[in-house]
Amino acid sequence: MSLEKSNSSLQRNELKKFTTARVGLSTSGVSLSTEEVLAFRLAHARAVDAVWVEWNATSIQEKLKSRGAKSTIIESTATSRLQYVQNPLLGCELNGQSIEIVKAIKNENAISIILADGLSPKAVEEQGCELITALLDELRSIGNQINPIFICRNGRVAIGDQLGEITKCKIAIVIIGERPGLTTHQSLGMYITANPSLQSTNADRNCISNIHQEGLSIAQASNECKMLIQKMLKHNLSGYRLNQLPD
Amino acid sequence: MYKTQISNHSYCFESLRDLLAKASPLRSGDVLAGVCASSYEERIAAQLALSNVPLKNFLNEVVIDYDKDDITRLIIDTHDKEAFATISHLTVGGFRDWLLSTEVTNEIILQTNKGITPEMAAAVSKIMSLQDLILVAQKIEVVSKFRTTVGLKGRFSTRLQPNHPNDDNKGIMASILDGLLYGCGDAVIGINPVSDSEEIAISILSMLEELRLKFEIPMQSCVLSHYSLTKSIANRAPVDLLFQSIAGTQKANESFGVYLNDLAEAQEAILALKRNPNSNQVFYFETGQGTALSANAHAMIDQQTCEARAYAVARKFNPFLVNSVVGFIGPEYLFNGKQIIRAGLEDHFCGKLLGLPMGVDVCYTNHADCDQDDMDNLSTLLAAANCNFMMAVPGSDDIMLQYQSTSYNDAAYLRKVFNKKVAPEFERWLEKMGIQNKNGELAFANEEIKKLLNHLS
Repeated sequence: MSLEKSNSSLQRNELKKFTTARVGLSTSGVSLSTEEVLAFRLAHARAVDAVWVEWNATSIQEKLKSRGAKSTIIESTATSRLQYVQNPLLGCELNGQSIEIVKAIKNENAISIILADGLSPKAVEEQGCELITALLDELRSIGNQINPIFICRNGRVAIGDQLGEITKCKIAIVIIGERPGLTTHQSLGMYITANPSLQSTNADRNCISNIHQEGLSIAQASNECKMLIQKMLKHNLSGYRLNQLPD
Repeated sequence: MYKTQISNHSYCFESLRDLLAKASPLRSGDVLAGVCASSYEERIAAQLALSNVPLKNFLNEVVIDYDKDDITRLIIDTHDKEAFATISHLTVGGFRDWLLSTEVTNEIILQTNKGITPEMAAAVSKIMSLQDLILVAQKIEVVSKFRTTVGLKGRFSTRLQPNHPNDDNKGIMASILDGLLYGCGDAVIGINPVSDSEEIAISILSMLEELRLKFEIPMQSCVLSHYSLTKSIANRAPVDLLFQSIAGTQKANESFGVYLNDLAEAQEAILALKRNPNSNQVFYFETGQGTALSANAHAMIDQQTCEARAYAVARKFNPFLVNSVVGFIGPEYLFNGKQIIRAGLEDHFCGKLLGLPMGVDVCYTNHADCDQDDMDNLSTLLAAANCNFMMAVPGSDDIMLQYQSTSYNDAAYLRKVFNKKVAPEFERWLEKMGIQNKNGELAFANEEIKKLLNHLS
C-alpha cells in the first residue's frame, strides 16, 4: 500500500490519529511527562487484575444457550489460577471428570470448538459468545458435524490435542483469552489443528490472533477460520506444512 | 558422576547435564521441569563441583546424545581445536578467572570463541555474579554490518518495533516516524505481523522500502514471519533480513518447523538478492530461555543451557542480529523481575562470548511479577554491559504482542546516561535530517522533521 499525500502539515502529537500505539507522547527532556507515566501505570494495574479474575463458566454456558448453542463445561487439571499461571502443563490436560465427559462425545470427523479462559478470563466473558456465534454461522457451509462447545476452565491451547485424541475429531479449534495487554484485555486467539492428537505440536497449528475491537474483527476472524479449515480438509493437514501449500 | 562434600553431606550429580541444571541460579522454568537443585545448599554444592570440571570434559560428555540431536552434532563437529588450545587447560572456575583477568582482552576472546562450546559458556555463567557477566560482556565487541554498523564500542542501537494489531500500514508508519524522531531504528525496523499472509508481508516490506529510498535512510527492514514464508516471497518483495525464532534442541526447533538444512537454503535465497552492501549477514534470530521446555523438548536440560545451545544454531549462520526475548515467555519460566534480570544478563554474556551480535528484548508480560522498575534495572545493566541493541516500542506498550518492552524514551535515556551514540551511518542521517544535533540532542520539531512527518499526512 502506498500512502496517500496531501498538503496539510502533521504535528508529532497527531500521529495518534493513525494508531492506538503510544505515539506522540508528551515528554520532559527525553523522558515521558508525569501524566504519561501515571497513565501507563494505571493501564498496567488493570491488565494485571484481568489475569486473576475468577471465571464464571456457567454464565457463559447460559449465554451460549440463549444463542442456540449447546455446550458442556470441562476443566483442566489446574485447580486454581495461581497453579494455572505457574504450571502450564496442568492447563494442557483434562481432569478425570472432564475426560469422562469428553469420551461421551466421541465423534469422528466432527469439528470441536473449545472455549478456554487462558490468560484473560475477562476476554472470553466479554467476546467469546459472539465469536462462537459468528463462527458457527461460517462453519455451517462446511458440512462436518460440530460437537457441543467445550467451555474449558483453566485451559491452555494444547488441551485441544488431548480432546482430539479422545473424540477423534477431524478439527479442533481452541478459542482462548490471550494475555492482556495495556490497551486491551479483550483479545482472543484461535488455534486450529487438523487431526488433533497427543502427537500434535505447535508446528501443526494455524493461529488467528489478536481478535478484538481494535484488532481483527470477529467477522474477519471467523471467515479466515472457515477458509483455513476448508484448506485443511482438502489437504488433510494443518500448520507449517499447510502454509507451504498454495491457497 | 560428579561429587562435592560439604561438612558431612556428600552431594552427587549423575551427569554433566544434571550438574549444570542443579548449578543454575533459581528460576521457575527449571522448577517446572523438575531439573533444579532441591535446596540452596545443593545449588552451591553443584556450583562448587562445576567449578572443578575441566573444560575438556565438555567435549567428551554431551548433554544430549550426538546421534539424537543435530545441535549436539553441530557443536561437536564445528568445534575449533586450535582456538580451544588457549583455554584447554582450564576448569570452569579457572575459565571464569581467565575471562575476568585484565590480560584477556576483546581480541583474545574473539580469537578463542570458536573453541568455546555453548555448554562451556552456560557453565561459566552459572558461577558468575551479575557484575562478572557485565564486566566480561562489556569488553567483547561483536560488530555486524548491513546498511548500518551495529555493535561498535560507544554505540547503542535499537530495533524499532512498530507493530500494529491488524497490520495497518498507516498505523505502522505512524509508530515508525515517531521512533525515528527519537533516533530509533538503526539496528532494524522490524514488524511482527499478525497474519501469516504473504501479501501483507510484501505490503509492509514495500512500504518500508519506499520510506528508505525516499529519505535515503541507512536502515534495514524485516517482517518477522516464519523463514519459510520470507523465503517464498523473496522474489516478489524487498527482503533485507531473514527472521527466525530458534531453540536449543532439535526437537524444539522441529516443533516450530525449523530445520537446519532449510535454514541454509533460505539463507542462500536471501543472499542471492544481494541487498546487504557490507557483509553476507542476512539473519535475524530470536531466542529465549524456556523455549525448549515450552515445546516439551528440553531433554531434561536446564533452560539456560538450552538457550546457550540455540546460539550454536545462530553462530552457524553468521547472523546480523540475535535477540534474546528474555521476559516474553512468561512467569512459568522466569517468575519475577529478579529472574528476568539475571537471565537477560546471562543470555547477553553467553551470546557475546560465543561471538554473536547480541541484543536483548528487555520485557515482561502482564502475568509476570514484574514492572517498569525491573525493566529500568535490566536495561541500565545491559547498557553497562555494552549490549548491541534493544527494542524500541512506542511507550513500552506493544499493542499487537501484548507485552511491555523498552521504549523510544528508554533508548534516549540510555544513550544519555552512558554517553552512547547510534550507529555511525544512522547518526549522520539523523544530523542531516535535523532530528538530532552534533551533541546528540533530539529536536522533535523543525522544518526538516515536518517533511518526514508529512510522509503520512
